[in-house]
Amino acid sequence: MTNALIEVKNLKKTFRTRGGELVALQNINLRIMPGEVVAVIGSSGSGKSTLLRCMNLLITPTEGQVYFDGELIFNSEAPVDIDIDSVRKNIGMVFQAFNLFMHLTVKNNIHLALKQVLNLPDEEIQDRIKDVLETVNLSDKLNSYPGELSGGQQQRVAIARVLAMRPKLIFFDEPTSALDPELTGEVLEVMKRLVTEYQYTLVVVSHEIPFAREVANRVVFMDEAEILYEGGPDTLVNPPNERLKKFLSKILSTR
Amino acid sequence: MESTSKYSAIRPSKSNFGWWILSFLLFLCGIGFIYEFSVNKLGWTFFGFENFGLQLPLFSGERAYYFDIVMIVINFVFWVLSVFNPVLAIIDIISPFSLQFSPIFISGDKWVIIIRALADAAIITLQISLSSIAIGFFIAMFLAIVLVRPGRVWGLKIFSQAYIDFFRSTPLLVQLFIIFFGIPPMIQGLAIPGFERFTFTYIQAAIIGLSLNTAAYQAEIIRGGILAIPTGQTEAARALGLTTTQTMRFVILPQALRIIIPPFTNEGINIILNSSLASSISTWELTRAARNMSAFYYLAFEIFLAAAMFYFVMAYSLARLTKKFEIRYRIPGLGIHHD
Ligand SMILES: Nc1ncnc2c1ncn2[C@@H]1O[C@H](COP(=O)(O)OP(=O)(O)OP(=O)(O)O)[C@@H](O)[C@H]1O
Ligand SMILES: [Mg+2]
Repeated sequence: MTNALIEVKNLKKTFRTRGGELVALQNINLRIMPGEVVAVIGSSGSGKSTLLRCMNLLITPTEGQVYFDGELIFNSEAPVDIDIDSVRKNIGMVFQAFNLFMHLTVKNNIHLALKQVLNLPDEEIQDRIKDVLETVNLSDKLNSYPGELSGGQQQRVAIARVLAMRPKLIFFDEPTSALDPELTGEVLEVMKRLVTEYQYTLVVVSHEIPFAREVANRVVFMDEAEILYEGGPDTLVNPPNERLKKFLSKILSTR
Repeated sequence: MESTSKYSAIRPSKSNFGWWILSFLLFLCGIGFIYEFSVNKLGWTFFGFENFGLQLPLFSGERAYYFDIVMIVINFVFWVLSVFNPVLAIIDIISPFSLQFSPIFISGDKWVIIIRALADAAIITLQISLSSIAIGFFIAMFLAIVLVRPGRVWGLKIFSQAYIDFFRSTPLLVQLFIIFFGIPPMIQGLAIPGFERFTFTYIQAAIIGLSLNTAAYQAEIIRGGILAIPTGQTEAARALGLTTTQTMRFVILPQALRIIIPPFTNEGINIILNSSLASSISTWELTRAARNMSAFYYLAFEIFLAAAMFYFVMAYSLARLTKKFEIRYRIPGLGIHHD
């Protein structure tokens, strides 16, 4: 049996807020296998972003274990002797708000981690920058600053920045929800190519139901901090039970 | 199993922070040593500067003292900043001649003497304030980074906070008095061999006082700049695998330093103007020179006005200069849109 790329066990995350403890995640058990494309769907505030951030330990879970590629990288019961940065370079993450480095050109946005984290030789870095910018169709924007690009272009640069690291899997946290419908298409197009041409493993938080249906192998429904249901992509069109049906129509109507 | 981990925590870059500081200090000491050696042993002088009035026992006696290192570092910084001398000397030479023909002030030899003296003193003011800004900036960077680091950094956080609280909550004038009148007798009292007659020169005391003071304000300015950077930038950097130190160095600081240019300019101007307080510890700088000459020539209004103009030129030039930086290093997409 092959290892799951990411596995979380009994994950729980609570935030301390002014109103007291807020449970953002609980009873989460999830395995992401190599080559899988997992869509995560749920209403606003259900904990989807928190789940992604817990899986690459951008935030520290309150309880539970996280495994990466078969190795324990987090355990709430005992500290794990791990260099989290060397794990994270294998997990790409694309954010809702793009989060490009505003003071760096497109080229240097990609360059930074290749140089500082992977420590690649210069020719290889140049090759990779050229490659990934071709993949996202932005070769002409090499020397532009993020502030000079459209939202869709910025998000594609963010994807390129992640691709250049050649990660083992990529998280997408609502990559198109900050974009106009016309710009959404170009980003989804790139994401589709990642799956069809490059066989990347993806975890995508998205409300783009047609996209999820077409590309995902598996759909995870989240509601009120828990995983409500896991199923194939066809559950999106034929919800197996009434509860899921209601849930889906609720999400789609609030969008 | 654990020993074969691909993601082992053993990685030298994790302790970057301490190494940076240590190597920087060693670097300063090294250059300071070379400088000391050439001045004291070989008898060289740099730009007309001698040994800043310090008699260092390092090469005169057999023993090397721990405290020497500190003094050598301070001396070195003075030396580095003395590169401004030639430029300032040119201003010095030009100014009396061009002002000589000014119809308002110049009426014979008296004004040549006054303006020349004021220009000389202005150069000292400029040296004091620029050195203080520069030295203060290094200290401030250290304090600010210590304070914004997540987790605890030995006892450094408490120290940094206490430092800032002390220097921001006491008057600069009192701080200068403590340094100039208070510290040397204390060091003399310690009876360390070679330091029985330890004093600061006027300029040293002024620079030490002003840089310690401005460091506290600058640290808060830098910290404010760092806190203004959206969390998303850190998240993106960390998600790519950059360490906290790398994130600080390549992502946060470059952006924060651009944001803080306006408040930083304020602080720079403050220091240029507040360096006039050093006149109270008898440092010969612009205000002191103006006071002495106005007492001698009975021309208070004209002389203080002239001094004010010198201050104005220095402060205003700094403001213009940083405005240039501001425009040049503007980050597209931040702030109000300019076409
Ligand atoms: N840093 C934080 N501090 C306090 N509460 C937080 C924090 N981050 C998230 N939360 C809370 O945790 C819950 C889950 O948030 P999360 O961002 O994961 O939701 P989401 O499913 O991604 O929602 P959306 O679809 O709107 O992005 C929310 O109730 C949110 O208010
Ligand atoms: Mg979210």
